[in-house]
Amino acid sequence: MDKKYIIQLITSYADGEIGEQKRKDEAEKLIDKNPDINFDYRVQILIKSIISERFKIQPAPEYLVQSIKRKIKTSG
Amino acid sequence: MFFPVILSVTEEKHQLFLSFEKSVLPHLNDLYNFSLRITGKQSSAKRLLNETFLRAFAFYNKFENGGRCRTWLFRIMLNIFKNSHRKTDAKNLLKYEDEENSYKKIRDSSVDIPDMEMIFRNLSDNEIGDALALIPADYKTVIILQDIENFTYEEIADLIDYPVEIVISRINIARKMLFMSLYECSLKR
Repeated sequence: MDKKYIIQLITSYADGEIGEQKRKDEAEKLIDKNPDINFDYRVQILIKSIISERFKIQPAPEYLVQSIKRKIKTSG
Repeated sequence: MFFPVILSVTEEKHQLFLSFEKSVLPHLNDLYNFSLRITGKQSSAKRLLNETFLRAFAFYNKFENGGRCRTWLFRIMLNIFKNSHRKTDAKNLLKYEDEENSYKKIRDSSVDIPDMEMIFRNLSDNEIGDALALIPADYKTVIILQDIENFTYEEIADLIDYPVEIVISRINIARKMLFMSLYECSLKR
């Protein structure tokens, strides 16, 4: 199977971007049967979860918000 | 006759500001977070945020309200970042070609993902931030947009002006590079 196709399939599956059931089944089958693909998939999931957990949206400091508002008001 | 003209211009600008404040400023935190992650520095992030909102306001009267405001703002920020802020020393950044072999070696060894997960989760926010900073901007941008800002592949493709296939490939590579970067960081502990 084409390496590029597998990368696209596994990554899309990890990101929940596959709508078609047939492609989901195909991804699951590959992940179950091939240890390298299984490893790649788990790396994708692990890193995705670490990024989304550690880099939660943090609010901009209030002084920065006020400063931007002031600059916009006085611009142009 | 002079004063009414000035007054109407001022009033028009004030109305524009009120509309901007209502529809654009609520996205400020998302944009701040994004600028913090792509620049990796608070001072650069603040500068990028300032420039983005000033430019957004300058073009706000041309922005159609039917359009997606959040996407519009991210596009402005990405353009500014591409044109003026992206001057990171390339020598310090990871190269996938260099990392690929090490990644394959780890995959072929007996490294266990649950063990790695435990080790990675013990890394501090600073260590993870430093590891992310080593990822080249083109790759870092797509995982931030996907994993933190929750844009879809289609939206990311539209934002960075590349086909969806390239977006997926970059996300895949970026995560592998970050995995390697975190792995190396955990070895240094």
